[in-house]
Amino acid sequence: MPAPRTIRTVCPRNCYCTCGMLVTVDESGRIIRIDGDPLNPATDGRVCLKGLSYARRQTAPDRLLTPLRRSRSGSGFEPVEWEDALSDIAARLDAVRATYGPSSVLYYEGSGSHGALGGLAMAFWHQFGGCTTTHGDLCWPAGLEATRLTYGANLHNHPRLTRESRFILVWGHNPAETNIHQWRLMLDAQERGAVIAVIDPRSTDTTDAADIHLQPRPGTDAALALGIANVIVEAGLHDEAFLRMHAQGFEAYRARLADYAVERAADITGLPPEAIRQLALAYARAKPALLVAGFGLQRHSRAGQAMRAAALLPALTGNVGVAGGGWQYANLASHCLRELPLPPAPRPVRTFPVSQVARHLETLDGPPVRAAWIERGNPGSQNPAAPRIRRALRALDLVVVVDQFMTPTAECADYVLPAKTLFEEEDLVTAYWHPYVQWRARVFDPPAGVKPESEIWRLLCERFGFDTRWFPTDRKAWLRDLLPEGQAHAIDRLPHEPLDLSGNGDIAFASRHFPTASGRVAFEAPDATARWGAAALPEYVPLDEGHAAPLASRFPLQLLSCKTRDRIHSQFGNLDWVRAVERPHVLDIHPDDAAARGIVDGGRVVVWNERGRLELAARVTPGIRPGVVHVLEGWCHDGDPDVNALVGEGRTDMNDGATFYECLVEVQRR
Amino acid sequence: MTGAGFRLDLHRCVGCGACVLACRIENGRVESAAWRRILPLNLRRRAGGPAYTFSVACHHCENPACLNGCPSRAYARRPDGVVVHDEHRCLGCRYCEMTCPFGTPVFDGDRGVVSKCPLCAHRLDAGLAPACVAACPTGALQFAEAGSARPPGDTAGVPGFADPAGCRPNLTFTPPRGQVRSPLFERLVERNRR
Amino acid sequence: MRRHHHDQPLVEFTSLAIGGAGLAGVAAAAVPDVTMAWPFVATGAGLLAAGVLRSLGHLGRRTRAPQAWRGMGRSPLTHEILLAMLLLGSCGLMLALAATGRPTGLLRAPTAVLAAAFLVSIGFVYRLPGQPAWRGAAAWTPLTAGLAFGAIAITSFAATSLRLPMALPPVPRTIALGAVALDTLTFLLRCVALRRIRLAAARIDPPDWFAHPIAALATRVVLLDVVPAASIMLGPAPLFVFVAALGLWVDRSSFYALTAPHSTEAEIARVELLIE
Repeated sequence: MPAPRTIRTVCPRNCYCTCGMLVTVDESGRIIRIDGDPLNPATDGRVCLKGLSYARRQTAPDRLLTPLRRSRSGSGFEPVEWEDALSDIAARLDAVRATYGPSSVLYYEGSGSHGALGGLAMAFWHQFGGCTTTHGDLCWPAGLEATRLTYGANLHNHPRLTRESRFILVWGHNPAETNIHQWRLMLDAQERGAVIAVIDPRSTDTTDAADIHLQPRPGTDAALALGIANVIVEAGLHDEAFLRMHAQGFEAYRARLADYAVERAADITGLPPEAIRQLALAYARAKPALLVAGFGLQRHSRAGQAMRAAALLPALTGNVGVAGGGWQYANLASHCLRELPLPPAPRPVRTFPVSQVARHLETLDGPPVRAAWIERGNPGSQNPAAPRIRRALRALDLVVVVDQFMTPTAECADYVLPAKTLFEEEDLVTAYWHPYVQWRARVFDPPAGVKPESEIWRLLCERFGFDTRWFPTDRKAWLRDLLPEGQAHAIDRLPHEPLDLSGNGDIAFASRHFPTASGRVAFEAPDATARWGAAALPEYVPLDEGHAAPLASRFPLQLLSCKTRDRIHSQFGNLDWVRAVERPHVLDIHPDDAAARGIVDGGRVVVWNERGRLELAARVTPGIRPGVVHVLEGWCHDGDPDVNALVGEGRTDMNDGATFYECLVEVQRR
Repeated sequence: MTGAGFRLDLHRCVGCGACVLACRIENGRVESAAWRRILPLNLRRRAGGPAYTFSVACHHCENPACLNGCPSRAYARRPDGVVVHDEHRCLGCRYCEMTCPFGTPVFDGDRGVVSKCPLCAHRLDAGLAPACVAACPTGALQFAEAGSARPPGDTAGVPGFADPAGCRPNLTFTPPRGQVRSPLFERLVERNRR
Repeated sequence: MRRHHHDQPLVEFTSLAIGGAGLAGVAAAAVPDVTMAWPFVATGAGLLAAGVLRSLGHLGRRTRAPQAWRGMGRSPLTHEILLAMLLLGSCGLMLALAATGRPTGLLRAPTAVLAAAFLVSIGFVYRLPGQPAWRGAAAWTPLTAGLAFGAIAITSFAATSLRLPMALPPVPRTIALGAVALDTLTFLLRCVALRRIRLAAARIDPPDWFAHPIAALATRVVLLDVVPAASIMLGPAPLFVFVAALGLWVDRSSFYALTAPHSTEAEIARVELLIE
């Protein structure tokens, strides 16, 4: 009897941790163990509940295992053969292209599954003549750009150095739920005497364990950061030596700080000035101090400037290039793979911002969008104005969705093609917290009716008579060719251990060389104006839809829709194992706001604005800041609140991000 | 603590449920009731989430109610303190479901017998930690070997976990810490004493 | 009525067992004439046997039931089952002797004692340290209810078979009333104790009549004690056996329905209310 085998692989989800995993499979192909990979020093031999739930997800009863076509009656789907599905899809794509041109097809890929092979879709679309796709990102681009403008690169210290911090300032981030391995490191530091301070309008698992918790108005963080800087400089706690040698534009910045006296910062943020002062002094005095900023800090229309203001605080205090210190937002050290070889695009592919799918589906012209191919994403639930996206999709001539489960987006499709799982195709996976490239192993063959996306694209190319040489016959060799110059041999090591191929050390900017235009940390960045029309110095600008906007007189509550550890966005939420332990569907509302509206704990409420409405139960909690309400994002099953019905299609001031946390609503008792 | 058991750090436990899922995988419990439960302690008028969260399975008591009451002697206590249940002797009478004051045994209707956490005895015998402990991402859940000393500051009783039947469970807690949780915990302890 | 599925066989088992054991025991002890006694002993044993069979329906693994002896010396459940078997055996022997015309005198005492011991053992199965609703007087109500039921059944049928006009002779009447009074007193003590216990939300979905303490307990007292006592004094008739039997069934149903919460979840729920 053959023994169970253990295979090393990696979780490819859109998640900081990107855990190394060891999967043990018995003779019959059943998963009998999922462990963390002890050879990944960041995730340190553990995964999380979602990683463990793969044992259930792999064979979940509602997993799609065959292509589906919308039935003639219009409601529901019927199974079809791959042959028929692909033939029909090809014919209809061809027809749409003939009538409207190739740009009339929207190719939408989400962040549902990371891996180099995801880029192969373009091998088809380039030969198709092009397509329309999205640019920007729903999650993090403003912060990436702000960091790039400031430090020149998105790099930060190795995760394990978190333990060395004496003061950890967590800003707009909830690691107890969204980066649990980082949370363990922070708790270790706290056990050794470090102080954890958290800035978050909500109370969370992170704030509950923290030593300091500030709850500013959402969208006012730029003022808070500049107010903190004002206190630090006034107290003479800025690192003059570091600034003299490594800062550019400090004098202009310092002059600007005069506009952000702590009283003004307090007024804008709604915080007591003493609390801001104490936090600033504590952060500046502790050495080394770490500032960890989350994506939550930048989900609004002034995100770039807010992030710049916060990102400068480590430089201001000399906490850059030291163990236990730094600015931590995203670490792109592992993003060192080469560009995929692809056929040339006949003309630049048309793109639009990813936060504006609804309006572009509705109004784009020259040509309009008449067909859509959606894979690795669920825009019909997860994107701003989600209900409008679903409506617009249903009006198209052809919609193809590739997914593991029937999502609200898939419900709008003409064809739903079953997607592989992480265990069913090799790939290379990079990360954005730790510096490791990891091998994703082929643990199983896909089930008979399932094909990996790379295979679907190759078959479509065949149907169209396109060149298929871009598609790998030997995936390992193909992936080897993506490894950085001189690192090809790593392809044989990667299946056995995660590798840091960056050549960077554990401490980012240890050499104090910053790849900015000036070679220094940019307190003043003319590039911000040149590229984005933003001020060269960071500044606080009130949000278009913030607490001080005219709209707030009608919709006085600021809605946040944050992440939970139970899901990665809308993934995992359908699994019974996860639903048994998940957090409830509720609207968090402060007792003052609730009392004013006659809302009781557990009562039904309607949350609404001009864009939409949703109905759910209320949880009255003093933990949330008055004037702020919250619903978890990522639900998309029967009866789940469709929170993105309320979210507008704004863009961040830099780099085309989305504005999920810039959303004014009113709430009333049902 | 004399027998083997668990330690739970109430400051580190976030109630994520990884331990519950790890137990399911290890013991092949795909659709049956889980042996481990996550029980948050939610104070009504309190800020934020639970005051703290329990992750409980079986406490492998010194004086187990399940073992004492079983009519077919399906329970036994190993020398290391692990209380094991022999499914082949189980009548499915569910008396242990009644006698256990913690709610530990679950009845598997499809097989007509009761089952519960065996502290991954098969893993302990191979020198490995129980599956739940190995999976805990924050290190909140720990395994305490038979005869191990209780760390200073750890306590056997916290509000929300009591031993009303003199079973002497082998479960101890590190109290929650920090400026939010400490005062709350102290108030709870004081109220609970009354 | 929907109930906690696994409790229903236990309600039926304990109702039949308490009624049966009480009937057989009281008959063995208090009906000297064997021709009058043996139908009661037979009926009692039959009810008890039916109850035991019904209790097998509660087991997840019925075929393993014989293994229940293993807990001897430790498990109250084993003791209860063994006593049931011994009582059935003793009744069987008595009936065999009676059928063959031999004297049954030597088996009278053992049968009565076994019946009492069995009724006590039922109470002790449920006398759990962590379950206050089943301790104290509640542990003794199977005994008193069994004795009361036995007395009611015998007096009701005996009066008919003896063609007694209306009222019973004083001695049997006093003994029967005494049994009912003892049961009433014990049960009232249980009710008083229940008032001090925080009962769980009804374990039945939807909550039905048995989970409303006052309604259920009052009904039980009326059916098993008050009405039969009146009948004993004024004119017993077989009808009142069935009234008492119904009362016994209400007693057992409400026994399982009215419990204090008994789990870590329940303890947490209690603590959650400490700080408002």
